[in-house]
Amino acid sequence: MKPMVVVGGGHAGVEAAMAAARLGVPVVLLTHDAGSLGRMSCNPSIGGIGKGHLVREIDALGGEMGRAADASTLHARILNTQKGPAVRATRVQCDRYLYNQGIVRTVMATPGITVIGEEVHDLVVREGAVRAVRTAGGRIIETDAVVLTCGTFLNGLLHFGSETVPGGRIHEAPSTGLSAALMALGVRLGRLKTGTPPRLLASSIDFDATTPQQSDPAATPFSLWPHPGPSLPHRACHITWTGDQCHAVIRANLHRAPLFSGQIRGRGPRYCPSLEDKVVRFAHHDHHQVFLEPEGLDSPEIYPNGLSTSLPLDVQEAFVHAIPALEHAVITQPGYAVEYDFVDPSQVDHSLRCHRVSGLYLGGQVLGTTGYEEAAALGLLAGANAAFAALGAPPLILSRADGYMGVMVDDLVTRGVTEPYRMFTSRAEFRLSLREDNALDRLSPLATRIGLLDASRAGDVEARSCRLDAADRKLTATRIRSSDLPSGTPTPPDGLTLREWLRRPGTDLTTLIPFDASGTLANLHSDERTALAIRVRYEGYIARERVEAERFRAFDGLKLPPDLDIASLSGLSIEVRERLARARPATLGAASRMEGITPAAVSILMLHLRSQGRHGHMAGWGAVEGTCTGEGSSLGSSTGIPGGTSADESTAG
Amino acid sequence: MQTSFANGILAPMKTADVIVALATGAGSAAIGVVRLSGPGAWNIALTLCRDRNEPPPERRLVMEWLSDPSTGRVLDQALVAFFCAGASYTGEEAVELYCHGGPAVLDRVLMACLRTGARSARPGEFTRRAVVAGRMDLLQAEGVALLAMAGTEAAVDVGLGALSGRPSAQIQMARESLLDLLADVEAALDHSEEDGVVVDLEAVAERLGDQANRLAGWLQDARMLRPAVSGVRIALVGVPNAGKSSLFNALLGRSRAIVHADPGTTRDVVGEQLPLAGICCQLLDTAGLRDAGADEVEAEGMSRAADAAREADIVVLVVDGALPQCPDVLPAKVDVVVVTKADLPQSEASWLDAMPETQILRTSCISGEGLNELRSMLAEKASEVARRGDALKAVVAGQRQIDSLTSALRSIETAGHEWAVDDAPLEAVASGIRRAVEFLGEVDGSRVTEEVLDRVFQRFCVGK
Repeated sequence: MKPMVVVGGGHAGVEAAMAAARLGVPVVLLTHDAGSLGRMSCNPSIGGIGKGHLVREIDALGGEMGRAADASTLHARILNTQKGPAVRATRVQCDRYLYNQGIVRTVMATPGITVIGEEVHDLVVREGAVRAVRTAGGRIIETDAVVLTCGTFLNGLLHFGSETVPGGRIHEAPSTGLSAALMALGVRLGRLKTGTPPRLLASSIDFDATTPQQSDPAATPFSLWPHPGPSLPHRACHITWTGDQCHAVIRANLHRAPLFSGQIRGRGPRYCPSLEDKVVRFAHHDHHQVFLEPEGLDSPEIYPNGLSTSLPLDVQEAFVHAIPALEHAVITQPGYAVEYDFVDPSQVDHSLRCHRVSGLYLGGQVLGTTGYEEAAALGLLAGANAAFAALGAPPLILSRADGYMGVMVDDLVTRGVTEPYRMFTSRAEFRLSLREDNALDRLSPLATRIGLLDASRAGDVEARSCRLDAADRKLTATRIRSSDLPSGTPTPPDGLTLREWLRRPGTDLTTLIPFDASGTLANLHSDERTALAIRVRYEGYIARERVEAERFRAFDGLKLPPDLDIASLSGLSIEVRERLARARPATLGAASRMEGITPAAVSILMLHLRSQGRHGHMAGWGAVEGTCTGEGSSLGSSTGIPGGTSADESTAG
Repeated sequence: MQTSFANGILAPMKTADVIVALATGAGSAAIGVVRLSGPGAWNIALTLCRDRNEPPPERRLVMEWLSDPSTGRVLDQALVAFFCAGASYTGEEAVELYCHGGPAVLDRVLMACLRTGARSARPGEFTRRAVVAGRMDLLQAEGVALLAMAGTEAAVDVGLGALSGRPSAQIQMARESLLDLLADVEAALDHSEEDGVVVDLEAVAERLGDQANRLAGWLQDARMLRPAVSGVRIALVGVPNAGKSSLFNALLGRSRAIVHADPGTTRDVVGEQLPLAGICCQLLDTAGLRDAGADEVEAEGMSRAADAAREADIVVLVVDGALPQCPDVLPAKVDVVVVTKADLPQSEASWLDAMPETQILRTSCISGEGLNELRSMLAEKASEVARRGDALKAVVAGQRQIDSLTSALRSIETAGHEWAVDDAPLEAVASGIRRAVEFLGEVDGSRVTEEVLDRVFQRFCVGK
């Protein structure tokens, strides 16, 4: 079997190569520098709201990110503890060096993966299919499947004030040949921008003037698979705030900001703005939070989250020194912005395969996303699907009801992107069902079936599912007499089942354990207790969400016939017609989720479909097999969130 | 294919066909209007216009001799109006032929159109094409349906109101308000912890309550207006063999319902139009209410009778004067008690004294005693019911719109109630608001499901 080629060794490339290797497909991974596998370009943090969900899903599909993050965790937090269980999320701070080392070690120790430290310069395509890649050094590697995970490296350009340097990230050269190769194949490229803050010398920071934030001992690891080795000692993070003085420095130097001078043309992430962007756009906010994150256990550096900037170094120094606790801070590495080419994701299908070139898959930030977690998730899917294609197996396509990964792919493919795509829970219409706590239950049985999990993990999944099912039955079958309940608990005369008791506010599963003589409940691991309690307590809400979302799911059963003459549909604006003609969505559901497709346009399309269906002109009422079933309304992804961001994290991923 | 006189704004022929129908009512009249719509409508009409050699003027009446192109036989002399795509009722290329109103004249013109390539329109198809072309939304389309069938002043006012687009704008405003609220809740879920966004959830709960009140107000108005718009419902209820069906027939003045001495003859609800003092009413005869001896069919009939009584605007309790039994379950509201069979020896019914507020009338369907008094009493009550509500302010009308709006309101109320009482997760509140937004979209058709479309267009007669 010819090896599959992965171009890029960031979070996406690593997951792509590992997934293929787990499926038994040999992989050649090409990256500028073999030691940079899994490097964190921006903040030393993994997870967050929506992103933590993705990490759990990556883990459930056998991916590396969760385990690598757990093994290098210095600080952990559970976010949204005061809100519902579906939006509760884990975020950890990592030792960036240990994370990188862990990934390098894992990849190097994986049989079937060959890492080559060379830049890929060109794709060899014959008759519409990939045949080989050509490296900058002239080497030709024959292959039938290529996964491009080039992150921010395609024609990457770094901005340090008015100075620009070609590069994918600091001190690393860009990838210069591939953009031209893609364009020659007819692939449309766009330009995006992201940024990172300056790094500070820890010993120059006055931590006494900050608010410390301790690690949360209750946080559970991302990965639920058995862990190798002990965890690291935990470190605190620290919080300080920008103020008038700092903002005044920035305002006085806006003319030197590449973001406002026209030097940067690419669009940046609205949700991770640079500090100069925040000062201008949110002029009514007189301060913004700065989160000081340790770069590593023994690292002398601090990552000041919130200070992303591309202002010149002298301005960076001036505004940093205007922030309390940072008056004498030494900048060890300047902040900068990076502009890069990306491939508009509407050019790939739901398996992440490029429409135009057979055998070419894309994953990660090159598809217009932002964040390590989004990149890793896409890399895993692209790598697995390239491998499945090589094996002659059907692709892995997750629906919007399966997980955040399904939501993300569907959003990207049907809507394209105009700004870097970051995951939010509001994008998921089945949000109540897509939780961190049940990621394993949602995805691992599938992962087992298609060969992404090895035998030992498959056994773990099976055992977990047996324990949960047995406990679930026990909850229904066990009835407690009112006399056995703690006094003051209001109960019906014939007592109540453990299930009914668990549904009451303030009861947790551990309280019930003494009432289960069989020991089934005691047998549950602590994460399983949490998962089961949430499942039971919210089953009413979850059932309702499902019913209501199904109502609107009918759109996904409505096929748009391939010969539908979109140009001739009356009542649609020219813009809508053009968008539809270009993207050619397969179903009305996919069309309804496209950017720029108004609900009115969807109604009109539907009326057209119906009137044609009645003539027998089209057979378009059958359900669509395979892709994108299980979706609900289009509303989720089109809801406008007011831009009230004041202390964003800057994730260049 | 013949050359079209119209220019590039016309859509290509293959996407939609030309439909034709009689737009005016059946029977003889001074004129009858035949309407054609769809790309190619001009060609069909021009083929019939015997003497026209040059392009017709747009939107102006021209006098034409119509003839059958295959036989050359003259069909009629008519006034013809040609409409360009984008400037017609349907938004498509269209033609209206104002013919002489005799049924045979209209028949042959229609037949000639069909032979020349048009096909018969389905009910509501002209309006549906107008919706497809974005000429109007569903609220407006239903306004058209209402105007096409309007039997009351209020129906005309509500229909014209819907056409004006005012209700659509109000629904749109409510949707926007809910989307604003949803944005706040979503911001709290996704951005309050990591991005420092501050959301005042108490204020959100309060605004949610305001929105619920607004929708509830519209629904209340719609319920008040329903009798005026779609007719006053008068239900006759009572024990079996009380004489409901006899009274029903007597009020209608014809033998519509089967009358028999066996109790339980009426099984289903039988309804008939009954104009009372110019007010459109619907008289409903129902199955008798009794406990014992009822088979499955009769039981179903009784449950329908109970529904009819509940939904009626005026409930008439019919009591057999010779055997005045009280039903086991009295309807929640009784407006009139009619004691029938006044021609027979009467028995005392002390239980009737327990209903002092209710007017009691004695009638006989044999002698006709009391029937005129009953008619005028019902007319008086009907006119009172039909005066309720302000047709000029209606936002929704008609059961379909009321149902969608009710679902929207219920979603908001559930979300708000659970939030306050059961400490529901904020995600569940967000789903509730999302659902409400979607149901509101069903009201004006900005979010259409198949179900909704079926309900809308099944109500049209052909040619509208």
